[in-house]
Amino acid sequence: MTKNHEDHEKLTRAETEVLDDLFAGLRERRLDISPDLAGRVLADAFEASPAPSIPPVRSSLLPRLAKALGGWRGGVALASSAMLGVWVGYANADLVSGVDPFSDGDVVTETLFDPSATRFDEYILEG
Amino acid sequence: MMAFDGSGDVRDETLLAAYAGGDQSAARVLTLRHTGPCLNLAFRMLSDRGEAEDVAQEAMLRLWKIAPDWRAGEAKISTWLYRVTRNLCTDRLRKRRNIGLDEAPEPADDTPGVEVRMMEGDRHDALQAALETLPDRQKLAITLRHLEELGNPEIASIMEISVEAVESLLSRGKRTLANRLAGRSSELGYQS
Repeated sequence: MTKNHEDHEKLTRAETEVLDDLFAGLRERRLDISPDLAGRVLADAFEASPAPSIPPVRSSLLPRLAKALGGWRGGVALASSAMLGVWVGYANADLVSGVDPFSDGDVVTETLFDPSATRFDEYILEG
Repeated sequence: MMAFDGSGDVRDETLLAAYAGGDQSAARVLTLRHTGPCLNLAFRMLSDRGEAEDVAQEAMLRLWKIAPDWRAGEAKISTWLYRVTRNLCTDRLRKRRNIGLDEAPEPADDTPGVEVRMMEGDRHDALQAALETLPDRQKLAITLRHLEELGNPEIASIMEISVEAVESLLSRGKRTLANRLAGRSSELGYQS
């Protein structure tokens, strides 16, 4: 670009003032977003919306199991029953050794909780 | 999940990340902030409201689509949207003329026979009419600088040219406008 050409392109102060004034007026002329356009843009946004990055919260197995068993009271009862079963199996195996597994269940129950079952009483008293 | 009411000054990138995370209230704020500038730039380039609305919608759709992959800190969302809008407008102008703009020669500043439509007593219409006679790149540079009030470095980023090239386009564009409006000073309410 030659200096003469630069001089040719340079605006006079008057020209600059006129243009600046015209630009200022035209700046004020702005289109508003119509409700229709806003609706179309938002519809696109919702349709293109990525899946939520945070997966839905799922409770772990243990809390759900505890809830199904009746809460902490149910859990304690279940644990106590399990411990009793283990004790019966190891400490008093001879009490039920003669039980026919195919006989009536009442026989087993009566044998386990018969007050005459002295070894159980001794265990309770002596620990 | 945080809801955005549009009145705060939450950064665009924060909003876009929230939208990418599934927060649709962020999309509402971004729509209110950016659809208008896209619409107005497209309207000034295309001089057709219907086409300008289509361009603005398409530019915003591209923003929604790129949201999950947006790399924070690389570009301003507004600059990126202006660039997309500019490209969409260029495509439409090319289709209108059915020739490549890059190959099309820019008319000389004082091309004889180019008629500037000046409406009596309306200076803004006169300037708008003069703007429409400018080559597209000069018109875009002047629109971004003097109507959208952006800085030259941002204009350079939008137009993907150097700052010096922006300055040259602005200089030539304003020279052309001044020539188009010359002799109309009194008609436009200015003293010669």
